[in-house]
Amino acid sequence: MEEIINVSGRSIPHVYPHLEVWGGPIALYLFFGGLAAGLLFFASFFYLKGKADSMPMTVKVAPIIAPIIIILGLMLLLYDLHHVLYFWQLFLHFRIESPMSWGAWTLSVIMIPAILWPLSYLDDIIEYLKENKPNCKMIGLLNWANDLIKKLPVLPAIMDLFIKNRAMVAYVTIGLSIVLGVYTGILLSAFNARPLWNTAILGPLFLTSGVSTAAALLMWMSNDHKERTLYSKIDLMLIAIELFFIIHMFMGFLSSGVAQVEAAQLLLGGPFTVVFWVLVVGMGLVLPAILEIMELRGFHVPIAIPAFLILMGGLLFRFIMVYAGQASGFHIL
Amino acid sequence: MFKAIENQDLIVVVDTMPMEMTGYADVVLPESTYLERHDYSRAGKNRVPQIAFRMPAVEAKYDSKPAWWMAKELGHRLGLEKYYPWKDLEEVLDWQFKQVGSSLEEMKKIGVKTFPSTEPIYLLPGEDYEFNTNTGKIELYSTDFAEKGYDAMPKFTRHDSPDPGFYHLVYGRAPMHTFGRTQNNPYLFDLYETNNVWINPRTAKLWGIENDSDLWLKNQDGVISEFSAKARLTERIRPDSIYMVHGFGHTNKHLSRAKGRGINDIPLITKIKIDPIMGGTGMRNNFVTFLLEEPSKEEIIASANYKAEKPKEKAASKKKSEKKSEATKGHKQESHKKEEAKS
Amino acid sequence: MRYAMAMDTRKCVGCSDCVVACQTENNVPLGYCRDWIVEAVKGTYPDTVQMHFKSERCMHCENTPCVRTCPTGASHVIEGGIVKVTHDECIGCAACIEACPYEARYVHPDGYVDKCTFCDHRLEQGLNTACVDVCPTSCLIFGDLDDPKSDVSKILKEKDWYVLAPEAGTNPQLYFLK
Repeated sequence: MEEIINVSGRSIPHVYPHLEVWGGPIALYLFFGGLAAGLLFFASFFYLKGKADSMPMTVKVAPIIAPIIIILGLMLLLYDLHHVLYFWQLFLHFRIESPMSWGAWTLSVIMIPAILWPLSYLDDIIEYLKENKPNCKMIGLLNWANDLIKKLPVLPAIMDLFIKNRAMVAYVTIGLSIVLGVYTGILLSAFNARPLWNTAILGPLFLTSGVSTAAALLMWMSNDHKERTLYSKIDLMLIAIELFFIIHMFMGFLSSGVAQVEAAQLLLGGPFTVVFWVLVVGMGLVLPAILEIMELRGFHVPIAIPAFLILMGGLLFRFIMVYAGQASGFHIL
Repeated sequence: MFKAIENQDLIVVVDTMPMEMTGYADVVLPESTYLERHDYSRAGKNRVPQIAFRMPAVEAKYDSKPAWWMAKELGHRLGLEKYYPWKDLEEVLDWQFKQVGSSLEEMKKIGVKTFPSTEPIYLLPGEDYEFNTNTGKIELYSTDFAEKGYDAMPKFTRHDSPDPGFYHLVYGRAPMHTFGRTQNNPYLFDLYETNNVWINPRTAKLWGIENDSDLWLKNQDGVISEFSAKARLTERIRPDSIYMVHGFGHTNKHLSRAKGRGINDIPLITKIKIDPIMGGTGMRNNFVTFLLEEPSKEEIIASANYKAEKPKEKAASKKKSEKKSEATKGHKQESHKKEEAKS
Repeated sequence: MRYAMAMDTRKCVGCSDCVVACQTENNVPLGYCRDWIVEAVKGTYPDTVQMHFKSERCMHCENTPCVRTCPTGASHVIEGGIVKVTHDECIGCAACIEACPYEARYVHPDGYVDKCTFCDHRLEQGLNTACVDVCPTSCLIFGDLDDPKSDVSKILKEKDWYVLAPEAGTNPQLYFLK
């Protein structure tokens, strides 16, 4: 028998014997970041494709969610800081090697197009809501906001400039949204000490997953049949890519050192196995893929079901990665 | 022991901590700890003869006093002033240090003073030396023992073996704690807050005990431990024995941290062997078995009389209740003193 | 200058004096610690059962993932290779805690991240670290690796040693003597 124990009574909250210094707020923050990145990506992409009028939900309406969830995500991040009164130190430094620093700056920069984009479409959003959901209580609020903006001094001029250069803004936003999507994975993968996170594939995997959750949300919100079918197809493709990345990730772990193999075991026969394979892969990827294929083949499936499953799968995936990653580490003998 | 306590007219306890025994005392004299008081110097004729000065590192807390102060004050009150012709221990120490060519002033600076050896510390080659035995030699065969009718050569006697399901109770110490008196120290409590029961993994498997399982111990005479401890499965103990650190399982509620932590080995030691020649005691010949379910309070009380006769309950006898009132008076006086000191 | 510590696993008795010395010297709040003792037992009774103790703390690595992942520069390396945290720059994001393979850092109840400093305030006065000074078996040896005459340089030349999780690539500066 091999026995390794701590004899000096070491028991430190969130660190020892179980590392759990990051928890739910970080997982939610990563989920919101990925979702916002996906929404902004689709809005910019389809705007550039000239689909602003044929896909109003994607280009004009849905982006209003992005700034809201980015702010929510930032609030979660601030909530998770233990020395929160010093958070401004984040914006006094830019450290090129620190993903946390990258994230703080990327989120701040992407906030500009994320806020201006939906503001520039406020008239269209109000019209869309009046047409489709005349009883929506948001309409009054949006009207009030719209009037207020027009009365403000500098903002209308900025908005004009923004609308004139929307194509250029869209290109920049695509770039920034990819950085944000990848960042949600890099934030975790930059830690050599956590073998389960320390794989380069986590960036693309989280980007794909984020974009896929955004596609699911758009599919759910849209009431245009064509738009829905398009997102159904996009989602199918993204799910395939995700599965491919996940398989690749495990192949990488299993052919690596003992720490990586042990990390992979957490998901392949360890405490996180059932949740990962049943809830994330099964319910969050494979089942919605089957439902969407059935839908495309002509069976009627309420669109909310696969969309909800994909969103839940994406959220759970981040929770599991955050917690399982902290359970992985080097053998210290 | 409880009978012995009952038969005392007066029990005075001098201790640094509120221990189990203080609960039975009529008068408690709280003593300051060794870091808060002067003590008589340590002197040793080691390879290098030396004296060491023991002085307080911090001021004494609460109303605690050093033992020398208690002795002197009691002496004064008994009219024995002439035996205490000094103000405090520093004066005594200064006089003592001066007898060996040092002084309190010097010792305060250096702490330890060494002296040259005045006689050789080893036997010299060829030196004629007689040991303190009948023959003057080192005796493997003790003529003394033979005369008194004992085995002159030690004979092997097999130790007792436990019944099936019972294990040798082996106790020892942890380096973090000093006997039973440091368990309530916040730092040391943080290091080692409870003892655990070391069990060999093979034994544990028979019982279905896992690491950190809660268990109670019952000894060969049916005495059940008052509290539980967690199991530690380790190869550091033989399969026929269990080990635990002594000094835990305190019951005094004033030990705010240590109370109720771990198993106290003392009540489980009901069989004490006495060496017929020199009277030494052997206490590691008791056996215990495991209780995996929490025993009821009644069971624990019934298993031994140590719990049944708490000071509260013994107040039934008239004599005791009288004493109690005295004791509370004493306490009141003390607390009164404390208040005075504060103001 | 390159400070390092050697720890003799054969001399350590696990008394944890180093832990309490550090707690009192550095005002570490109760329930937390910057150094700690690990006991490792190998073998099966009655065959050879081996055991040893290790006194562990921040390894003050040469390659510092904690400093790299810090978003504000609060974690930094000072003269002698000592890794320190500036409390007023730390935002408590805990990225450095995730980055440390040795779990040597913790979040102080006041919010910032805290860890062993090799008692740099004592080194400035020409003293040893608190843990080294109190060790009753002298199993901790501290000094400058760049000075070939220092105790730690000499003992690392004389004896076999190992470091923890070398595959993490951090090049730790706490050496364990076999």
